[in-house]
Amino acid sequence: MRALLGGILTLTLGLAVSAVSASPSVAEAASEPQRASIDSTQLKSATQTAAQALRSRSANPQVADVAQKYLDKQARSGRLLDASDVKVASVADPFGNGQIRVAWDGSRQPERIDVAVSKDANANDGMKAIGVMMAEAPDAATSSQQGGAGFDGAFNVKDMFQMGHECVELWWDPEYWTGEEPQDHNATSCYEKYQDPTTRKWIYNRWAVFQQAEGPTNNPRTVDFTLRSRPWKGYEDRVESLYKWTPAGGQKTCEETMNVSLSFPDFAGVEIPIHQCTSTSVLPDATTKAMGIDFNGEETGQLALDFGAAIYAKSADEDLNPIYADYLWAQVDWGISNKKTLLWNEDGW
Amino acid sequence: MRSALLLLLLCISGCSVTNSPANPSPARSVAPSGNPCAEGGTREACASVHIDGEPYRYSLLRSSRPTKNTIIVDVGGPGVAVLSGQVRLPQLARTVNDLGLAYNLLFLEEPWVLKASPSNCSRALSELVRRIRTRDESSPTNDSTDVATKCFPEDSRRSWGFTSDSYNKVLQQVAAQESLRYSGFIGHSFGAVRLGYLRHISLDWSILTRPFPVGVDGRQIVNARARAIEGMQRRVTGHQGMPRALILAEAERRFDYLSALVEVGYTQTPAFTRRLARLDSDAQAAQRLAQQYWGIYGAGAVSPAYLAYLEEVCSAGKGWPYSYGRYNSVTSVLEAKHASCFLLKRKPAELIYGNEPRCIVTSSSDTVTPASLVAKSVLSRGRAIWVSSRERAHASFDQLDVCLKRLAGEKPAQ
Repeated sequence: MRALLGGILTLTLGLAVSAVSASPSVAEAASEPQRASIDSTQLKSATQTAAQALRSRSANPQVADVAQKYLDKQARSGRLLDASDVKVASVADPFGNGQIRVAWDGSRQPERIDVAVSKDANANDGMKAIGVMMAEAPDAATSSQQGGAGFDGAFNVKDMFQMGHECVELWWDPEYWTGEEPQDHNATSCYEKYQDPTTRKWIYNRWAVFQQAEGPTNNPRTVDFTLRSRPWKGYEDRVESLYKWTPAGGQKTCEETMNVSLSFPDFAGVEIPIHQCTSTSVLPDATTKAMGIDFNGEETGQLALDFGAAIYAKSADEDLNPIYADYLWAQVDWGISNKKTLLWNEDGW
Repeated sequence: MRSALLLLLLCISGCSVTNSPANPSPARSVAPSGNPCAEGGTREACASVHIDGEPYRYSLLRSSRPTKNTIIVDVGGPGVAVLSGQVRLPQLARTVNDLGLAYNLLFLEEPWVLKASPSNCSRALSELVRRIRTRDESSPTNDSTDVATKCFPEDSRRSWGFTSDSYNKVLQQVAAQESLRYSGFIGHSFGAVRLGYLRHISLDWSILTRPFPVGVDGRQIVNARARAIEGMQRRVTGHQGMPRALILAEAERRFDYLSALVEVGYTQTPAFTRRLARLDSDAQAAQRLAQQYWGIYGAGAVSPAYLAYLEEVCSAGKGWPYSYGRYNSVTSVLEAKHASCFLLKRKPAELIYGNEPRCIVTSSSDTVTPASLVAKSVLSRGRAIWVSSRERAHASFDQLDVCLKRLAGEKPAQ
């Protein structure tokens, strides 16, 4: 009966969502972790431009809201994005807990959203994780440098030009009470890539921030936060090798930032701000030319992660530039039992 | 009826024990972190101080060799999100380090980045820029007044840009918090104005790259910039000003084209030539560049960066144009950008310059602060080492290393 009503609900809301690898029934999700995915077809059918979302605000104010939030936040970071260049999608949580809202800019498209959950019958104790995979469109890389508007300047990267810079942001409902005003979990993930012109030298840089929702009556902690990047399906042969990466390992605390130089032998390179964490491990893989960073500590506030990878492309031709897919995974444990179990080792993303 | 059914269905599926999962209220938020550096997520290293209860953020890049000696670095503006990662602050640390110099580098973030924008102010600003874009030959009296009252109320505790007072207070507090001694100042473009904000800070040296022409009349600045931009256009494309095909186009198209020409002046090689060449035929490319110049984003919103620009630039000079002509020359869009100064009634900033050793970099092909304009500035009256750059793009810090070698290599008196 409940499953039937869930089906009616999905249809009534008009959202293209289904659980593809686990049962969506809340009642069945007692303690065993369950995982479900929303695939690219479902995501594409839920996608609209921010311009469309803002025009039809009355039809879906929450989607218009995240579109505006994304545009405003990027503008305060000096990125002035047109509403027609930003896309938004809102899809139902496969386990029936509200909506997952996504906003992003540029040519990328979310390929998949993964949701994993484990909770007790009353949702007073549990864990939930969400992952998003973004795949880059195989367009020719073009300079993405920002302009100016006043009497200002910016420091050049030695010998390299920025050839891509895009972000994605997610909001999703926590399963626990967040106080009188409803709060979302919120994650932002960005990449930028640089090329030493007319050479095979590229630097691929990722950074992301996760802000968990507060839980006045629970004890929510972020227990897993992972960024991964790998050459995208069908474009693996554009990357010759993973030459170097940063950070080499964790140090200090998660709130401090240090600048790390990532460069090639003849000095072309980028200075990258890296947040320092004691509980991170790096995930370079010379065979797949993939890179990542994984936080497995416990954090109650905001958490930021970054990494950079220096890579050699097969060709110096800009049209054959390295095309990467990015993954972000964040797990919050809101249980009082203080068990620390990871819902999914997402290394096979 | 439909919403009641939805609510019923939602509650059956378990909403009673948690947040209502599909709560129709759009007022969802993200947890306040209580840490100013977590607001919006800064890319650069970040710390903060509070002045009169208001947070101000900064980035302090410490030298690998422990020292109190610190360079205040002002990348100019107003309207730059200094900690966003777009300015790439660590690249300067690398330059300083490569020169064998031991200095900490301090960058202050402009107040507008953290200042909330009331919805009536956002609407007034958006409307002002919309009307400027669609209406030529005007004095934007009513719209500017609206921005003046909604965005610059007299009882505001926080300004959009810096004032001399806030700039000094933040610097003093950061010095106390971090145990710093200010030795040098690097000011790019509008950073030259901020050097004039300093009080009670005795510097060993200062470097100004492509400085704002302090003391030059606003109308003169507009005219000199327009000449420089049209000269650049003629050299690259062979023609100057509005293409014939656009002369009879509607105001928006002409406004976009001319604003885009101004914006291209900020662009560095190799994108510069490509962008300039596309303007004549690509209306959308022109519109996107115009949006950058005016701070337009989203669906016609305008970044509060423009409010910071107006607040500080209007105060930095006198004689800004108070009306603008038909959009058929670069002069007209530059006039339009500053025409609101007349109604904001900002007090002129009092700029005071010390007599520390100074090095000034200029470029004759810069279209924002051409060397000929800087030569008319009060900055040219004092003693300084003058260095020429052949780089055209205004954003460039080309030749900064030459000035650093000349001035910063000497051991400051302790």
